[in-house]
Amino acid sequence: MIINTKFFGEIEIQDEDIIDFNDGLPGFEDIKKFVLIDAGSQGALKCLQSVEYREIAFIVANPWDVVSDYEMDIDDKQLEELGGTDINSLLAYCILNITNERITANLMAPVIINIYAKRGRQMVLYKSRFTTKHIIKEFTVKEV
Amino acid sequence: MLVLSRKINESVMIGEDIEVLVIESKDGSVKIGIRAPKNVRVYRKEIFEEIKNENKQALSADIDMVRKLLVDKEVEK
Repeated sequence: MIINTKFFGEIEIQDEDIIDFNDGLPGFEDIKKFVLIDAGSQGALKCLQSVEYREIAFIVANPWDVVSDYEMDIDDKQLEELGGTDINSLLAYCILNITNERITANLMAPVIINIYAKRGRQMVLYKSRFTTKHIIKEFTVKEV
Repeated sequence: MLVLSRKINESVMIGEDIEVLVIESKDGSVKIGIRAPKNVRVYRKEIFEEIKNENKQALSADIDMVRKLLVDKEVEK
């Protein structure tokens, strides 16, 4: 099927590309179907794009690319709900917040995807030492 | 809003299967235990609100900035 994307125009996806977010994402509870689109070369950046709503698209990154000693502790029960606890079936991404002033990563609430079950959820790491606004880069505004 | 008084070790039932138990209260903070079915998500409200806001802000990502970022990445490789 062809979907309309926020950053990449129309693209073709297969049914098996669709990842089910049963609970949506916090703030977007009714949006349950997403695809992951490669947004940078070698997969450094991806775009989590809603299948149904063009304007709902998040730029995401591998949290270990953001901080190399990133860690998360997720309840097995929650992973079971996504389809299993096998670490090889799981992908983790952090949502980036990109403005003219800075880029931050939400390391406190990573998006976890079970690539085999095609199910995903944004998990909240309450005990994490990481924040929702981890600064990756700040842009200095040049005086004109 | 329904307001109830409870003592330590007393609880409140919300519907048939959600129980909120008061475990401890000291120094102005209350420790509560929640028993709820697996499909009921329990959040600390302020953190949940923060993540909601963060997600909403992330959507307003400036398209030009994103493009630039993507191009930078291409160049780096």
